[in-house]
Amino acid sequence: MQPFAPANTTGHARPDKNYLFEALIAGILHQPLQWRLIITIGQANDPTNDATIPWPDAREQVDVGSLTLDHVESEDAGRCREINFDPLVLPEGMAPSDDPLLSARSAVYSQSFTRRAGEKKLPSAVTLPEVRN
Amino acid sequence: MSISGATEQRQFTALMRLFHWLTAALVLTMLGIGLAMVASLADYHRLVSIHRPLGILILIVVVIRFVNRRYSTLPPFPATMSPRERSVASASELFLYALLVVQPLVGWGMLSAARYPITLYGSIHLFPILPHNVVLYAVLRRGHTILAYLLFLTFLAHFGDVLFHTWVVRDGTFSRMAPWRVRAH
Repeated sequence: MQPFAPANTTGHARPDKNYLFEALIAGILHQPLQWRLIITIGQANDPTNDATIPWPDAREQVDVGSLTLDHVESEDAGRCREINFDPLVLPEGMAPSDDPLLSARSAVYSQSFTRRAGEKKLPSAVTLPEVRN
Repeated sequence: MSISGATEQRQFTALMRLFHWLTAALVLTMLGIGLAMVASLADYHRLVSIHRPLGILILIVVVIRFVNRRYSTLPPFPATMSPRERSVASASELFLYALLVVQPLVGWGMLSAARYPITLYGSIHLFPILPHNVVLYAVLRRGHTILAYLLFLTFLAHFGDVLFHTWVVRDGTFSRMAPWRVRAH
């Protein structure tokens, strides 16, 4: 995933420690955030089980689509709390690599999802009065 | 074969014994996978991928087994067992059957309530049996663990009881369910 535009980090001198979080909420109302889905075509000996080893720069890349976020919502209205963002729950046409980190993430996300599901739902710590569904 | 051997049934039928040992192998494998699964990281996905279809297989086997049992002739209890022992044995047997049906259903139900894809093999998915409700998921997930411990304890009691009868009371209890054919003496 590659962002269409680099994140604006020029505001880091501001005293508010949540400046990235708040800038994203404010910015998304004016302009959607977009990422490209780039597929890199590997060759026979390219390692698929270790994401820390980069493949050679010469590998062919294909732009297969884009992801657009055009609004955000808080936990009160959205159901993000009720979804397990498991990297091994994949749509048709996508298969996991043999990277053991994916399985480890799946295990840990399952544990955190289970604990989260068992907690009483409290009002969202962040409210977005300006965002309407 | 003598006439008395043909009329006096000492063993469960061959089909019942086959179902018994098949269930034993599946359930013990399942308990092992379940334990390893919740403790592993790199093997988690592979173990979960086996755990789900194996659970459904156990559910199917146990239902067929229970129906088969209803239409089969059971061997009499050993004479060494008191009426009280017999009723405890029958009740614990029924309890084991209940656990073996409820445990896969709770597993299936909890995945349904969390709206996890219930992948059996490749693109073969199982339909959800409960509405999307994460609170329900949390309760059933907890229940799944408690039932697993209960199943293991019930298995230990069953196993211990058969060992006691076979080695201490020496009333041939094991031979009633032995995988091989035991002739009446």
